[in-house]
Amino acid sequence: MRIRTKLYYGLGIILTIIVAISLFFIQMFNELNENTIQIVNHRYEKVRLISSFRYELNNWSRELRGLPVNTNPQLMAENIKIAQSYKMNAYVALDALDRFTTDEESRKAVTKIRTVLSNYEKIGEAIVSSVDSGVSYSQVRPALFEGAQVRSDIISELDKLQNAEEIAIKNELNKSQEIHNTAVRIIYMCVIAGVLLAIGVTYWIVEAVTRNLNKVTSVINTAVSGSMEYMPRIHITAKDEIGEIATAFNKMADELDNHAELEQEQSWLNYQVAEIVKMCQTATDFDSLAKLFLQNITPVVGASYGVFYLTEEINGEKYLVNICSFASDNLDTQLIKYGEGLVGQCAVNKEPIMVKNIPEDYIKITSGLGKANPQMIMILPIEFENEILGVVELASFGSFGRIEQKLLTEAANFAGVTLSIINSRMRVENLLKESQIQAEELQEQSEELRTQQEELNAQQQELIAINEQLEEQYSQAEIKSRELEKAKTALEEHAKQLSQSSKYKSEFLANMSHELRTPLNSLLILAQVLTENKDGNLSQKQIEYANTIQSSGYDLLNLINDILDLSKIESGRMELNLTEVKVEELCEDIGNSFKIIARRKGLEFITDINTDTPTLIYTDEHRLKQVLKNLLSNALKFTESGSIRLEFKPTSIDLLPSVKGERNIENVVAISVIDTGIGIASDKQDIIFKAFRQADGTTSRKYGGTGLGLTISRDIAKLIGGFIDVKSSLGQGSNFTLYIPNYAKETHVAVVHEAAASLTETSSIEFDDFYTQQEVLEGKKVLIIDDDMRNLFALTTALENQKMEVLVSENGQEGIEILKVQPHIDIILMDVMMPEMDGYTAIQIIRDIPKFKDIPIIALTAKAMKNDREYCLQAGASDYISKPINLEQLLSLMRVWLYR
Amino acid sequence: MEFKLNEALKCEIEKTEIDLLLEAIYRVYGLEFRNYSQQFIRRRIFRRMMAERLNSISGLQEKVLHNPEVMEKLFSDLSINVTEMFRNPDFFRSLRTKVVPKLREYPFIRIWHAGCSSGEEAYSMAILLHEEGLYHKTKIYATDICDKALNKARQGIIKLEKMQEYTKNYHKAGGNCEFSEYYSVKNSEVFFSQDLKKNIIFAQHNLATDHSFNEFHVIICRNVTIYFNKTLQERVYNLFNQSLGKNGILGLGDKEVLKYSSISNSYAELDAEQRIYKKISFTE
Repeated sequence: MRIRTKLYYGLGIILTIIVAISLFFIQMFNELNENTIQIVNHRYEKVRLISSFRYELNNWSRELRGLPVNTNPQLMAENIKIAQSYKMNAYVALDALDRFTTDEESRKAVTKIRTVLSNYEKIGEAIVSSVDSGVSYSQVRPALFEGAQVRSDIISELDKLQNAEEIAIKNELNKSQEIHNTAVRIIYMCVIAGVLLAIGVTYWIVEAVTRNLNKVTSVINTAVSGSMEYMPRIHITAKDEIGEIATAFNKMADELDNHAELEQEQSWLNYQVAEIVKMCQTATDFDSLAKLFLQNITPVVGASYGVFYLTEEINGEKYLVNICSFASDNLDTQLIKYGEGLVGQCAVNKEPIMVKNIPEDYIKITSGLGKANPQMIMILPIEFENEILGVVELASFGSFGRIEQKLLTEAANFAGVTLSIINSRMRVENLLKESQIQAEELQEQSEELRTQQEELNAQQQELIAINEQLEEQYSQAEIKSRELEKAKTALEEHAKQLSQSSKYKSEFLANMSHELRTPLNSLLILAQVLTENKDGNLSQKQIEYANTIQSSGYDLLNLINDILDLSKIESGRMELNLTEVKVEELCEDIGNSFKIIARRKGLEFITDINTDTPTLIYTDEHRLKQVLKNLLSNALKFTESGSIRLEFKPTSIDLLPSVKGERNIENVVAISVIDTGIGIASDKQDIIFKAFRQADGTTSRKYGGTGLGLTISRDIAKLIGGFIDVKSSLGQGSNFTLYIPNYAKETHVAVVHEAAASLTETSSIEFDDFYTQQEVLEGKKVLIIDDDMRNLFALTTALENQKMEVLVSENGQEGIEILKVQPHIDIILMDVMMPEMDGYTAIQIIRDIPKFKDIPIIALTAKAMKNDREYCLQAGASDYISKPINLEQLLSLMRVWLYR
Repeated sequence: MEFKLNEALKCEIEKTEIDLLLEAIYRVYGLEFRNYSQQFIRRRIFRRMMAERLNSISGLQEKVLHNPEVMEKLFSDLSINVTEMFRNPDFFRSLRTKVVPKLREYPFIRIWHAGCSSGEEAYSMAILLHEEGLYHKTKIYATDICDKALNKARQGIIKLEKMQEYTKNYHKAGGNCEFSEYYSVKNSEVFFSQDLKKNIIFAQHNLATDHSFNEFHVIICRNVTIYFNKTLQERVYNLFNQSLGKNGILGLGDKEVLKYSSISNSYAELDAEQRIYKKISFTE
């Protein structure tokens, strides 16, 4: 039976039971209700009517009894009337009772009552009539008595009837009670029976459904736990829904088993392919790939023999070349043309070829124990992108199943891909090798080029060396000829020796004053620092002292500069810088500065340029000015009153004895300084040109000054090719005239050089060595940016010692300004730790200016800060050096960066 | 039989002449140039021919054989002495970061600079190791075929004009001190500090003919094998392989690769881009 039917049946039975019990209940209650209604409506009405009748009867009888007592006739009539109405009412009640009475016994009783009542009526009428007739009471008494007797008969009958009715009611009630009890009992029984039946039905249904379901569940559970290789089946023959489920499950299990089997096959296939892929990936060339392929695939598909052919083009025709075989008996064909035999055909068809039923003598698979014919041969094309790359041939004792064939096809596909990869890899490798060779050759060539360039450089230097050699030879020749000259003029030589010793002195002085200047510079800078009193901790007095130190220092420096100039001239190291000098401008320039001083002293200052004077003189302007200033300041110094006169005029070329006959000299200009001062005695006129001497010849100098001015002036005059002449007498004022040659523009340099050479001659040799060493640094302009005064000072001194021009700045901003204004700064030394703008920022700003993109910047870093260096280089510094600075190292470093 | 001088034949003649010249040099002077890169040899020979105003290689052969001075010139033509301090700075940076940590473990370090030319790279290496605190336990063997270059190297003098470039290289190579600490400048010549020289041994060695002379932890041979043909390259690499100890380091020039040589399987790339290789021990 189906579960649905079962459920319908079960639930139907339970429903029926419920309906039956309910109907039964309704019936029972109806019956009970009827009974009650009977009791209430019928019996009760009867009893009520009996009571009503009794009441009316009593009233009637009472009236009747009162009649005889009543004497008043009027009242009597009234009473009779009332008695009549009670009689009527009694009859009405009796009639109603009669109508209600149905049972025989009661009807009998009612009839009897009616009969007795009629009697009673008669008696009553008798009484009435008697009363009407005025019979006395005593006479009526027997009637009354009789009436009373009749009445009691009636009441007894009534009592009987009432009793009968009451018994009937009691009986009815009892009956109802009985019915009720019966109903309750039946209900109990019905409920118990219904419940038992429902339980039974429910158990039956539940049992039937769950038993089969449990079976299904347990089977499915075993399937889920998967302990079995195959899916379990449900064995249920029931034709219900569970049975259907079981059938469906069994079908599904069948399906799953099939699928699992397929999957197993597929995974085996995948595994084998993956294995082959893995193995073949290690192959780097065709041979190793073929070998790996055959070694792996042959045993897997159960083959015992295999050959791998690779397509190769030989003379435009395609061949299959045997590159590897498995279990070969060395009898395989090595070269097969396309289309030749089954293998060749396979390559042409691009389709696998399978051969079964191989004839006896086709091929033998051999082992040490024997040989046998294979059962089946399979030939597979290996292709990639529709191009045949090779062919694989396999032979087996068994036969290749569906799955083996599938594996072979996939493996062949894969082999195709791998072959093409190897092919392209080999091509790439060949290309790489070629490019490698080319790269090497390029590198070779570039290095060769560099070598050649270096060789060219070397040749150039060789040429320079040869040139120098020639020059040297030339100068040696010159020296020799001069030596000859020397030998001739012994006297001259002697004089020269004297002048030489004086030159040694001058060199000594030059060096000394140089050495003096260095500490003096420090003194001056430090004195300057002191006077600035930045810390504000010096008293006014101390500042004055510092001022004094500074001014004395400057005096000393001037003195040393003078000495240096003098010694430079004497040692021939003073260089001339010849330019065109406009006479008028020169005169004005000098005049302007002296006019003021003259006026302050109350002197007249006159300048005069003779009209014949050339407007341009070709000479060293700086030196010329130096001489004139010297002469003028002397004139001012020694003149108390009167005038000072500066005169320019042309003069005869013959006045210059040393250059007489020189073609290069165009003319000679005489510049005179004429004063009205104290004058010089004629015997003292030689002394004044000697170093450290003044005309008074004493050490207590009234007029101050170093006493070097005239000496230097004379020497400079000599250097620029002229001389100074003095005309004076004591108290008559003096006239100093400077005669200078005006060279022809084109030729002057050589002349001056010669002049200088004649001065330096021997003395320059010792200096050469010393100065060539510094030639990289000499004359270069360096900008030092550092906020530490001591550092600035130390560096300035050191670099000035190297004949460098030093510019300083105390902060980055100022440094950048200087850089913008000053032309030709060669190198910058930059402290990185500065207030306001630090060195990194300053370097970056400088580097951002296109003009200074390549200027060497050396950062001065603190040794402790290691990162400083990286920041410096990032900011754009060319190099760095850490503080405290090793001077030797700094100089080397600067030489490197100043090399051009 | 008729002989016609066509282009192919001219080529053949030139090739023969070059082979004969190199053979002659080998037999007479014992100098091995037969396995040098052919194009390189050809260019250099033509250069010498031009300088000597000769019309044929055979003519040069005559001069070379009978006039040792010409041989000397040809020899210096054939030795390319291009070098720089911290040449290819990234190479030295890589040495510093990848090789130096390995060297720290050794109690003593031997380094061979094969084809050191005028010694710039050997000095660079000395500076690098000095900064890494390893120089005191290091011996640098710097060898070259060219005696002149070696003499230059021994002096440790460099032209001032090159120093700006070298300083930049030093910075790029990750130098962590001051380059100026290592030199002083006199008369436009730069002298390297004596301290740097103390552990460098300069010696003549011909990669084409000579054998291994020690076991090294590091061999640097940059832009040398580019002048060699495959045969000689193979010889040189095998020579290095014999001379390198376990886990030894081999540094080549940026155009040289180990990949196509037979020893490449024994080496792992430590820095492929900078051509730094590490010898791996075989587990056969």
